[in-house]
Amino acid sequence: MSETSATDFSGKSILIIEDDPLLHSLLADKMKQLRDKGVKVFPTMSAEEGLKQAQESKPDLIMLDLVLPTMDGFEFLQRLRAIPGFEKTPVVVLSNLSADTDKERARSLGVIAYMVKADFSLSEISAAVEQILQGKQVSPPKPADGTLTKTPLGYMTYL
Amino acid sequence: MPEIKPEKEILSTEPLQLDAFSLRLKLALAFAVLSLLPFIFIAIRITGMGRYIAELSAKGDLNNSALARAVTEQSNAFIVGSIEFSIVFFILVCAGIIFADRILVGPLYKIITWMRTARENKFAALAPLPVQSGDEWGALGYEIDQSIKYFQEVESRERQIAEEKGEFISVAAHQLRTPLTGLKWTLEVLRDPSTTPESKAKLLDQVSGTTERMVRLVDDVLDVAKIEEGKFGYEYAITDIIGPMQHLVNDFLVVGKSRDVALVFEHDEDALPVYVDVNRVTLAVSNLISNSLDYTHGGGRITLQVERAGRQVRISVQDTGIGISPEDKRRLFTKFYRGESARRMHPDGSGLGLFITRNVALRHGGDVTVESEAGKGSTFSFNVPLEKADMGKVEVSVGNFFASF
Repeated sequence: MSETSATDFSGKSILIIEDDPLLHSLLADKMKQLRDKGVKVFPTMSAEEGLKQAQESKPDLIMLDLVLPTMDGFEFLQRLRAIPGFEKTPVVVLSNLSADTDKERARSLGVIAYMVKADFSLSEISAAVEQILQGKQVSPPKPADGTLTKTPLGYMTYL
Repeated sequence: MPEIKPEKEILSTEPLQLDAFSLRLKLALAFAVLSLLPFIFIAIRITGMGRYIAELSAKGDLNNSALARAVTEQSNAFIVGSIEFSIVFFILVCAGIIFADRILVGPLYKIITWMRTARENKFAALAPLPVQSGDEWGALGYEIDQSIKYFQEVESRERQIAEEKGEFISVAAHQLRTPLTGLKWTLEVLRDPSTTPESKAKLLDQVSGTTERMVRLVDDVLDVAKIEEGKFGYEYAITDIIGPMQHLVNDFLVVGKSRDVALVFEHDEDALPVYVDVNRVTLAVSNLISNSLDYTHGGGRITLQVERAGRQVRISVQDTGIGISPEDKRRLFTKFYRGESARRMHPDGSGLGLFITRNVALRHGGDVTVESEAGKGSTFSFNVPLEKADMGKVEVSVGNFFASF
């Protein structure tokens, strides 16, 4: 934290798409702590809302849940990539789906990281977001007990 | 879906070699011996006759030339006749061999070849039955064909069950992980000294709903497992049904209000004794109401109705929700199955509730009926008996999920 606390993120913005009410509010509140560093946070609860918000606010990073009502995260990614100017927008998938097929599918849609929600704490997620906003290549956070082994894609994978 | 391979190769790749005395060879030998019999018989008779003529000539009786001519002519005619007979007999025997081979050995070889090919193809694409005759071979072929198809069916069902279990595990893992993530993150925030007491209180409220969800999911999973094993027990008794249903509706009122969905309980009588397992029936109705709540938009209405229908009592849950498409209706009661629109509206359902509800209806001698129109709403209903004697035949399926379909 000491290294990054001085960093100025003014002008940067994050779009959150998460439909579970509890996870949505926890994640949004955590990200809003980055406001002090100048980050704008746009929390949304559906892919449709997310698409609209993305076009309005041109976020520097999108945090995307996959299991969503009406339009799922994969469809969101397909539509987002089809919009001019959003072909390379960094997207971090935050989902509890952990099947390899889901990870591969997300990878093929150009996400920069795939995090299984249950495997990470809010602080770890927040730290990763800060590093991505700084444009750093991020090493995955070490598991607390050091014994957990996770598949390469289960960790944050930078593509 | 990868091909399921047995741990050890059960099937031998080598065909069984027929030994030297195959059925076809034995048959040929038998007929060969048979066809030689008249020749042997005739040879013995001719030898006998020769000896007789020799005896006659030794006595000098053959000096009578007329008699000698007659005897010679007779013996010549006999020899020619015998040879002709033997040739005809030989031809008949040959025809017999060919005929017997055609009807007895030929079909057998066809069946053997057919089974060998099927085995070499791992019974994947079964060729049509090679013997269509109405005789015993036809019957044998038919029995083999039916047996293979039976075991194929059993295998494909087992594979389907395995697939469903796999799907279920991944659904359940996702379903459990989401509330667990909520708990994990909530604890992290609660532990953070900068969190205000107000937000702490709000979080604790939210998190209790989350734990409820987890408890319900685990309960559903265990109930389904018990149903599968045939251990989902029922304790029937004559009990009032109105009181428990009123309680149930009251329990749902808060959620209904929060989603702006009206909940109505309609019943003709104040108390109505029925012969049921009241806990199971309450669970079944609770599943129906909670489904209706999930798939009914704000401003909608859910009606629970309990009414007498002869010696039965009809319990129905009607909603003004999104409805069910005809193709979803067909698979509705299959475990883990969730309709397309249901998945879109509520991605987190487990798809277990209706499976459990149907089991409850079946175990009260009835079944769940569904009337639905996409976009207009659905009505789910089932009957329970007034008394034990009114209960229809109860199908108890033990350990076989397919027996109930």
